[in-house]
Amino acid sequence: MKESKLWSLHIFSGAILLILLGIHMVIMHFDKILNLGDSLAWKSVLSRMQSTSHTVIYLLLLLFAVYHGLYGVRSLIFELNLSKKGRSVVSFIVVVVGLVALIYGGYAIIAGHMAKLS
Amino acid sequence: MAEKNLESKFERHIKDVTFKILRYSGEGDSTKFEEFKVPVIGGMTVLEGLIYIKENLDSTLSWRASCRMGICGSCGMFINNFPMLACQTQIMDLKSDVIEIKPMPNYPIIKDLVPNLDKLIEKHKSIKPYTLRKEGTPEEIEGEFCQSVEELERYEEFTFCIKCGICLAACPTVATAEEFLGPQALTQAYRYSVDTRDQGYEERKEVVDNPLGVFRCHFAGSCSEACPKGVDPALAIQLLKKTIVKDSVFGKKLENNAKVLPITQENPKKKENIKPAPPKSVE
Repeated sequence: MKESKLWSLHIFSGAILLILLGIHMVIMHFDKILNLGDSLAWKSVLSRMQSTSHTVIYLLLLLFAVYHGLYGVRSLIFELNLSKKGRSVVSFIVVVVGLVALIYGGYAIIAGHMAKLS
Repeated sequence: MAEKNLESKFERHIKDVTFKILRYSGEGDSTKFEEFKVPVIGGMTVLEGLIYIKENLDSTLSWRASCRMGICGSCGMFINNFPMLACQTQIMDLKSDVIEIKPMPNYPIIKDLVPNLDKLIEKHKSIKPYTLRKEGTPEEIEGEFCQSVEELERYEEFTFCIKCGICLAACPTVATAEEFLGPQALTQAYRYSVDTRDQGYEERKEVVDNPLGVFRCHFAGSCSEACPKGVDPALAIQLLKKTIVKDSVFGKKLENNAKVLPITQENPKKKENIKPAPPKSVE
């Protein structure tokens, strides 16, 4: 993929992360101020995991955070003046790490959503 | 007589300024600073100070200069830790009794203050800095291109580049990534791509749309700060980014279709009533 597309996606994911992380911050850290109950209580965690809207938010957060973070890491490593081959190897490793993170994180979110816990 | 003129000229000197110049023999030796006392007169430039040193104090001092008026872009130097044109920098404006002069950073040094600008030229050439046509070369087109003032203003500022290389010397990204295309080439890529007479955007995009092209810029803005001609390369790089993203992501192609109008004026060379040029007075 062309660098312009990767870069645009990086910027776009950054903008989306602002919103998703905003939601995450409000739920997790402003719970007392906004009277949302104890966010870290088992019941609250469970209800969020089983809620479809939260599952979608977590999946999106995972997707965009992984992409945004790993593109940033790739750019940082590129600053080391790698050869063309070196850049290809780094890009490949970053893609593999990203896929592993997405599969593992996605599995955890979906498994939590599907599980019959009480 | 000439000596007398020189003496009388420097009798009007305001003060003595020390030129601390980084010397390099060009033969792999280490560099070292050498100091020269230069009598400064009003309006004297750093380049004139260097000429004074070469004429009166050390004839082995080397630098590159040509026009002495900020047009040729030859005399870029690192003056008091800022890349500037020596011919455009007045000594009194530096407000210092000691002027430290080094060759421009981010380039190999050939000798003393002479940088090797091969990389600058290679990068400049790589973006094809000339009008590219798909529909016939400019020579094949019978007529002249029509361009509005607004269309001209899209790139006019960026035509003022004199290829002095100061922007690359100022760029912190070039300092760490030698292969980065740099502000000069990227600015010219934008300048030609948005010219309505040009149709070479796709070819240039291949060169600039990669990790060492337009997306490597960290937007430090030093290039715009340092440019002696008032070009704003940082702006051109952002506009180029915008153009490429619009194309790659949103599919909005840059289309240049300058209208060709028939030549209405008669070619002045063909006119018969023009008198022949007078004979040469000097051989």
